[in-house]
Amino acid sequence: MSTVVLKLAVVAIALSAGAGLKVARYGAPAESPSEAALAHATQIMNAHGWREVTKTKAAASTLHEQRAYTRGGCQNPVIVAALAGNAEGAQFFRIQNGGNVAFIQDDVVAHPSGYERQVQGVIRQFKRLAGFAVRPAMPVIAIAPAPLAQPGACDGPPRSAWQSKHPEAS
Amino acid sequence: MFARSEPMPLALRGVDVPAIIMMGVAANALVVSVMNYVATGGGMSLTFGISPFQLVAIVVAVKLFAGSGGQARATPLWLDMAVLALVLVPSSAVSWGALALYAAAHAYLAQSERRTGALIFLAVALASIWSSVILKWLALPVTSAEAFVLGQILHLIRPDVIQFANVVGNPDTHSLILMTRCTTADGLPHAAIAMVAVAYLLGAPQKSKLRTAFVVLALVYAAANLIRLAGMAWSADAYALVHGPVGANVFDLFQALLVLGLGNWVSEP
Repeated sequence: MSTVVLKLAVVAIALSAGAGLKVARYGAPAESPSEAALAHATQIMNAHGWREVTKTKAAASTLHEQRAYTRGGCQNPVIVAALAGNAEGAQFFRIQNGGNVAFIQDDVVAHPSGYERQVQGVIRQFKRLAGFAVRPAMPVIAIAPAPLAQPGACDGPPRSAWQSKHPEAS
Repeated sequence: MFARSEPMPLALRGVDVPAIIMMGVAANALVVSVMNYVATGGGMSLTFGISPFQLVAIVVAVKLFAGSGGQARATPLWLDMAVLALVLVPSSAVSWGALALYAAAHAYLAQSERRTGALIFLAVALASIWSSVILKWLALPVTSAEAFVLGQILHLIRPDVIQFANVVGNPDTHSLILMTRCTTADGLPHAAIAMVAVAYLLGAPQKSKLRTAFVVLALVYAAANLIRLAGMAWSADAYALVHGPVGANVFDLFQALLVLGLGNWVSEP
């Protein structure tokens, strides 16, 4: 009987602790990663002489927030969006902006990858378990026009500006 | 006066530690659904954000697992410890993985109802891993495939509707972005498992009827979901109606009736 009681105690402790850890993780106050990602994007844009305009070029979807940036002497704005969820709004963003778009997911990529985001999420989770300070995951950032290695004055910041480090919330 | 009561399987069996572990691991995996429900301010859900199909399947799995049928041998202690260690990882997906592992071991070792219960637990865990992990890897091809079918059908009625990847609609007015959680690929596995669970709860299903029911469920569910998505892609007003509480409840009710009806049919001798 004592063995059963011991087993039950171990099971109860493990299950309760597991539930508690999950509540702590999933119940953590929202840090608005979209806002943080767009704030980071604004920093990069400002550093390259682009200023945010309040009115965006076109209405965003209900799936993502977007901002438009202009620069003196340039006719077209640069649009930056933070894609929520599983970045399902990526193709909509592509259509809305004529196909010339890129996405920031650790690096500048042509298509966001759910697989890579999950692998990064698992690595982040294990780091957290090991006691490292880990910042929350950021959403995929979409940019139109796609950044170039050596852009002209009105093409937006260079590709390298977005590659410096995947933006994370501070 | 006579009083009739059903014996409690758990009480009959004494303390069924594996059943408690199975329930506890499933409860751990569902924490994320409840927390999302709480984080979004709650709503009209009576199940605290947990899919009713998942709940039905888990309740039936518990009943069957704690029912008749023995086990060839107990699971090794290291497996119990490994599963409990995995539960400590604060990840819903890892808990589903732990449940799948534990349920698979019991399905291999157990017989009769207990084996069926373990298999339902295994199916629930695998379907949840499919929805929350694997489907996200395949998001674009899966959503694009369903959007292609939807676009082809809608284009017959509305020539202005076009489809590009997972986007369907009129680019100048209203477009629907198809998300993974709206796809048949996401919802159908959970509905199918709930149907099997209902069938086993009500009786001993025949395999031939079960196969027929699977086909009917897949076809009807896919068609109903396409109609729902077509409504959402039609216009902004239609989207608000179909995606809002009225449309969502109508679709949920339809799914529930379909699953219960087919489950009942399969269980009939």
